[in-house]
Amino acid sequence: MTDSSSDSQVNSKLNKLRSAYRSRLNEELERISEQAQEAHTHDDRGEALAKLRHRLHKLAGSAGTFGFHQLGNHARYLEQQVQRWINQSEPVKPQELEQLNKELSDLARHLGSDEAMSSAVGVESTEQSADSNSPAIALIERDSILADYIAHQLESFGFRVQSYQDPHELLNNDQGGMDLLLLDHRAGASEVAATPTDHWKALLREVACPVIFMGGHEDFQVRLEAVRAGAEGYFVKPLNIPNVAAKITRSIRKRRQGEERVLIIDDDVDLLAYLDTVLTHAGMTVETLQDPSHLLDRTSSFQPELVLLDLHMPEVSGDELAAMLRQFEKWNNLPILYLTQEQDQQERAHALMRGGDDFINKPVGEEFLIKTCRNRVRRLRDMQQAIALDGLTGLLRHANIKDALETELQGAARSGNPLSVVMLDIDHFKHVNDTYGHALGDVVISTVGTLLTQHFRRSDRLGRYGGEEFVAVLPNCDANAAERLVNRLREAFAEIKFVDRETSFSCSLSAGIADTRNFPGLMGEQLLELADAALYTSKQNGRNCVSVAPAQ
Amino acid sequence: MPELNRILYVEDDDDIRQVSQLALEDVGGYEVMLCESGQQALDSVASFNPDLILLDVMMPDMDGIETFHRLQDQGALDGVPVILMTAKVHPEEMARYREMGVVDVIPKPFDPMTVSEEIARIWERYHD
Repeated sequence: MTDSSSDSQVNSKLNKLRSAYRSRLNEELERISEQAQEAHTHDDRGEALAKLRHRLHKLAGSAGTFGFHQLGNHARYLEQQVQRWINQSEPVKPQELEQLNKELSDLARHLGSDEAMSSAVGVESTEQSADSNSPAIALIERDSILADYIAHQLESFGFRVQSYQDPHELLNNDQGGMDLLLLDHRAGASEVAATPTDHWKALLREVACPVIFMGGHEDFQVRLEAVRAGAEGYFVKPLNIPNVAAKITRSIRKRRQGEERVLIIDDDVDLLAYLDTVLTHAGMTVETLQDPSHLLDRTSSFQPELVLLDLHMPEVSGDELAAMLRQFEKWNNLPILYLTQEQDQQERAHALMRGGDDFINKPVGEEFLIKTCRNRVRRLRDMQQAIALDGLTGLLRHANIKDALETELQGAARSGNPLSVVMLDIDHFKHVNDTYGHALGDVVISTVGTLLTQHFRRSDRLGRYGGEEFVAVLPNCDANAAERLVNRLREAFAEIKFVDRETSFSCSLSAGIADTRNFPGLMGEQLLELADAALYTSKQNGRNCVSVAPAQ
Repeated sequence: MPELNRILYVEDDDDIRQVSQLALEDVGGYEVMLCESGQQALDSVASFNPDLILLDVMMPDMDGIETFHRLQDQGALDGVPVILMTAKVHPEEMARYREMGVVDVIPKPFDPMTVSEEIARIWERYHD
């Protein structure tokens, strides 16, 4: 289509169009609220609403094209809301219009975050992309020596750290793209004195990302403050950095788990559209189905994490569909909720016996719907993780990483892309356990888990293979790239200081790599053996190094 | 498979028309005619003789669906595939459009850098 020389021309033209569009947006947002005002006062409310819907429709259709995705999504959501009012027979209530006005003012807020996002995304080369993907931590610590130490240690874990003196300095800077805030609870102490909780609440609302507090001592009052302010964690100084890093990783992972996948089956097209809009707007991935006969196909292809079933449909009832899904072992734990107006206790009890988990009553309130769906999916994920993940490291367990390897091997065979299998082992781990005790040994193991999670891509599969042995499956990655990555991880691990009362120590690790391209047609088990043999070579060569299994 | 050269796009939004020119001409390398209303499309379709037509659905006066039917009545759609440019549609809605004779739907907002590739893919499938 285009060669790279004209790419920059297209980009500059596009940027011009984008800024022209941007310059008209404020005016357009104003017109939209005027139009909403008119729906308030105008005699012919229907006409005013139709005009309002048209404006929102245009905005929804164009904003994303110019890069204002959040603004566009919100406009789409509001458009559908107004559309429902136009469709319904009863008049719109004044408080509903009030609510709309509030949500219209959110358009400007979404525009703001779109802009923050686009300025945070710079020009990035492929080599840098791993770094810009690594989580960004804002650190507020007034003791600059301590701040440097914490920053340096966290950077060894693969985080990007930006230090600030106090909350004001943070707020005065552009904080777009910040993943987590780590702060000393005494920062900005003057304001804290009056009403600490309110102060922190205001700050945390502003930053809109998970927050972890650090404190000078163990104190119930301070912990309570942290909880009330919405902090996800509280660590007492001197900090145990590997624990802090593990906590940060868990907090961020929770955030990045991705959109909840919800499948909705209902014969009412309008209700489907409404549910779709509300849940999509809340950030979920939604598929809808009007014809229940496609239920099994769609459940297989879409892999939902939650199914909403209309209980009463003309040809087949929701509880029959639930019973059908439950006939399959693989969908035994899939949450199923019935959408219903049914109040008869016996009917409801019967429906539960058929396999559904609970009810959502019609008419459906937005807030309740979103929270219910989110909560159900979260519980499912927690449960799946508890089963599949190793408690200490948060990585896949032995059997699960082997399964994951087989799955990835099939993918690699289909695509023809390389795949590398890495086996890692902590050097002299027995010595650590014997000298410093098992508790600290566990910290060392969980540190490798955290490092692996930080240093590899989300598409990579990571597992704790045995006591101090780890496996990483890297799709789309040949031995050269894998060696570079693992060496970076190895160096970072050697940098980390573990603290035991007065002394501190560091550890090293060795690794072996097998690249599928050097061994075509081998199964997972055999590749693991080859990676293990390469690991043995690393141990023979004096440890703290990486070896690649030679092609045969 | 015949080559895709000329695209007619009916769109009432000025901003989208401007960015489409860039997306279809500069990025896609197509010859493009942009119409701001269904009526304008009816008047100029014969002289431009497009290989493919893009239709916005929600337009004042004559909407995309009516434009589609009137183009069909004029005989302007013989061998000329039509793609609707609209919000995300439900599978049921998609089925209705297909029955009408629409080839595909490109959801709005579209990405100006990739929309031409999407059109090319639909064109290939259409001629498969």
